[in-house]
Amino acid sequence: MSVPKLIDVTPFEPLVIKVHYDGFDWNILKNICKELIDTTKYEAELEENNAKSSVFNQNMPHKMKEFSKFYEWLEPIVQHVIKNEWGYAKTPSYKIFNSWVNVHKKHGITLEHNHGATTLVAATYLKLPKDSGYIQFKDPMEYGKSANYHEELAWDWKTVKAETGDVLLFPGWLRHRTEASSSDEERWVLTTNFSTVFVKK
Amino acid sequence: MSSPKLIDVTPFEPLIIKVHYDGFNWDKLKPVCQKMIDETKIPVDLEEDGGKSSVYNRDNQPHHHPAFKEFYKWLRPIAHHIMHEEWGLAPQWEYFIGNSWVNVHTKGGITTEHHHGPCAMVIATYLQLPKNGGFIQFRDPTDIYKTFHSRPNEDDFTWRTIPAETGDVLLFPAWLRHKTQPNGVDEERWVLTTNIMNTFRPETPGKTIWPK
Repeated sequence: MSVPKLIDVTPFEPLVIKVHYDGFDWNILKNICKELIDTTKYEAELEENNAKSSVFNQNMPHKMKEFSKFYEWLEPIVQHVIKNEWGYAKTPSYKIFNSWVNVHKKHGITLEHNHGATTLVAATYLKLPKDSGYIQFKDPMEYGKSANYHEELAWDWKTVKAETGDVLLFPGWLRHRTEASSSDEERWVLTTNFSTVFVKK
Repeated sequence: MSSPKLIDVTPFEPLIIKVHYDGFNWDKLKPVCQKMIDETKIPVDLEEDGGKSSVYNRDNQPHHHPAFKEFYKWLRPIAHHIMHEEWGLAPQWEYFIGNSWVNVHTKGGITTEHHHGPCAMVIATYLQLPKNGGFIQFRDPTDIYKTFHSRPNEDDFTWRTIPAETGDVLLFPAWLRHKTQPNGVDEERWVLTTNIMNTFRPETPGKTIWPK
């Protein structure tokens, strides 16, 4: 017997949203991103095996003119996701708290982490070569679902495929990591944290 | 500028799945269900304000009753498909009906918040759902993480309602907390609930046991 029509009626909002940006010129951006990495004095513990981050660099992409068109494009999308897709209050402002770039050479990874109380994380693929690995998200319902055994050993980690120019928007509490890059080409990712700001009237 | 296309790429499996069954004959089923309720000697704490349940009636459960035989025959491959193909549960386990019962809610009647413990799956089936008879509501399992942020209405945010109609079948994991809205009308709301349980049987991968 064929299975009748099954409808997913899960009533909870989407956790990971993808949107695509076509405006990057990597020939221009590459040198800027490389300089951000080279001028970062502290190593990020989350980056391993040929991976580096500018997360501790006070010079941040969202303050640079070369990224201004991208952030102009991103701003209304982020506000829409936070207020309309996720249903958070419209009164506070949601502003960029910080931003940085990561570069992964072959075998490079970012370890499991979350972004604390950050409202929305935007992970943007500036350069994603073939076989350079994707982001993976940890199932936030892991403990409930662990009551039953799953066929896959690593069932609680789910991979989201992407391509250069893709932007992934997800809540700061959602734990994630990257697959290791298998490519000789570098993978470059721009990450931006949007936080809630309560403005005095 | 045109709005960019936003794509939901949430990689986690659906938690609540709805499917519709057309084969109930309520005129025939109602006396069967009423008898199950009337025979139940112990009241159920979860049922309030005009809600009654046959959950403690172990001697007369729907999945053993001939009146529900065709329904369970129809349901079996669906439940099997969801557990294995949609949710990825291990095939080395046998899945079987642990118990089943009916609930009836008169005007104002509710089932209060609860979950179904160690079951693999819960199947809630609307045998008779009058207009304004009230729907099931699910608690957002990620609610605690979202409390970092400001929300316009806490109760609406935490609890999500699933509209349904008579004949609808909702299949969801047992750990997911839920409750019902009160029945808002004089007509009775009747719901059949079925718990799917499991046991480890490596010699019979993927087998599902159902009542004969």
